Amino acid sequence: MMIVIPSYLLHILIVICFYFILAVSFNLCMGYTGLPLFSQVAFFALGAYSAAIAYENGYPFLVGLLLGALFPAFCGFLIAYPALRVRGDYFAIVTMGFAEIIYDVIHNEVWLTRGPYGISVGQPVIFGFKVDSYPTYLLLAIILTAITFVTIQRLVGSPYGRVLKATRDDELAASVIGKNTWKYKQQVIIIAALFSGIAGVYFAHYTRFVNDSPFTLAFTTTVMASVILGGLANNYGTFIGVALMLSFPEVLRVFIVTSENVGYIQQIVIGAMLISVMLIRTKRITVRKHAERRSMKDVIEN
Amino acid sequence: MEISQLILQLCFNMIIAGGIYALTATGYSVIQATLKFINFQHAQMCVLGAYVAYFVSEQLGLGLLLGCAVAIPSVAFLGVIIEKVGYKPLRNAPSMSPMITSLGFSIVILNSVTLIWGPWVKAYSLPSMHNISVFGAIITIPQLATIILAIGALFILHFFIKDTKLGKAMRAVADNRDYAALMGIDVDRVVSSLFALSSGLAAMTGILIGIEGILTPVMGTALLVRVFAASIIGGLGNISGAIIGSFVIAGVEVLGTWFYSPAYATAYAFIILIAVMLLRPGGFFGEK
Repeated sequence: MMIVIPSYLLHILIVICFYFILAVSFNLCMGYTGLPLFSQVAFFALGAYSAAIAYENGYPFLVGLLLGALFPAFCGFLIAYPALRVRGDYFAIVTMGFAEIIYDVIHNEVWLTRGPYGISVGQPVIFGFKVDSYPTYLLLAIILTAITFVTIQRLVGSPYGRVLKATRDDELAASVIGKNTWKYKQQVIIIAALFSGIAGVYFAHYTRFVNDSPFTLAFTTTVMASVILGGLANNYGTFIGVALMLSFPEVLRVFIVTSENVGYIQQIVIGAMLISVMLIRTKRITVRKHAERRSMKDVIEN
Repeated sequence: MEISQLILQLCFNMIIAGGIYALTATGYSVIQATLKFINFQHAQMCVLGAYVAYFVSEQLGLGLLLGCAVAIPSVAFLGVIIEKVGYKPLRNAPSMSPMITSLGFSIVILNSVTLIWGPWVKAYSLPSMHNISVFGAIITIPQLATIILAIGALFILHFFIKDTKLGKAMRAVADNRDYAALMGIDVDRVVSSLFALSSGLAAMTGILIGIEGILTPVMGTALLVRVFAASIIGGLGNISGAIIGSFVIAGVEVLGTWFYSPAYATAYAFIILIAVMLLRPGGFFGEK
């Protein structure tokens, strides 16, 4: 027991770390730029499979990491063209469609991905340092999470981030003062895809097995729910949201004996939470209207 | 199989699939046109309707007709309640808020259905019936019923929107909610009736899908992505556009399934969607 309990806790911490990478990059899109990116699971899956296939062909971890970051980023670059052409929220649908296509490809192109049978992945070795135990995995997760968090946090605090917020609040006004909002949005998608891909690489090496089953819409909605729970456009809140969202099913497991139902009940609670957060949040719309004017002013003064 | 026979069979398949998509897409577009947000919950109402009918007809053993008679009104009623609780307070919020609420409702409904009835495949027990052969192309009786019901419902809806008082009120609310209210239209009542209509229609579609094939909790999600694609292709909130979009999606899907692989049925809809977005961002009948 003395050994089991800490490793279980470490496992939860690790999962919180890579979910946090996903949540922060989702927040960059939805919270700061106003793009409801429903294809995050696709970027995550592309990262995981890039790493898995690279490993299978004998490439070292860092090559897999590079591939798993750049390939999703490239896909993000491409999907921006159709997705940013639709009006407003329908961005969500086009990106969701992209995620469906990626899922279908993973599920069906068995020669490449082995579909439901999956690919085994080994433990990462970085410059001779073997990551082979929970503490070392946690260390790697914390390093990757810290890189993501610091990059995105600095990004949204910079003049660049102020343009993003202005684009979210009033796109027309932002373009009137000479900002190419289309380019900014595309770059945001690329950045989010890049970091989601990195989380995917880590996921593949941590679970040491990837198949098609985790990469469904429910994955995206879990990430989305934790961001919304923590408060959009607030990366610290996002951390609390992720921690709550991931520790909650563990608590549920204690009270509910049949573990097969835990997943459904977790999803029901996620749904109920999305509804209630939205209903409570409407009261704060007026506050946001005020912030809108401020974010515009920030950009003009720059 | 002769080539003419093949073409006829593919046309039948397209009309069946297209009819079901068009029914769902119409119910979806009615809401989209008036309230202008993306309604994720719509397709889950199909699932709920189909499963309530399953509960009445199979688990209580009362027959499918009674199942329809219970399922359609109760799902319509639930639709109205959801509107009152979830969407009415958000009517003046940015459209992302009701979209997320509807996503929440869709997750709750989908997982409740799975929790209650299990994730496994179910089917209505129908009497065995002969297939009808039309010039060598085969069509089953449930499929024929689906086609007739779908086309009939679409016609009734068309006249409903064009000629009835509620239909006119709906178009007025869709054009401009504030002006409609100023002209003395009870916007809340119109929206409630539309939710009842669209949810009831969804329940009927769900039952049709169940009659024509099988029931699974995930069928709603598969339907939803096609309906989204169809309504964007047709032009947002444009009901006749959504119907045409549904048949385009169904046609592409049937051809793709026949000539390439059924495994990519969902992907075809979105490949078409992405292609249309690149060529005509507003959809076929949408504004530029």
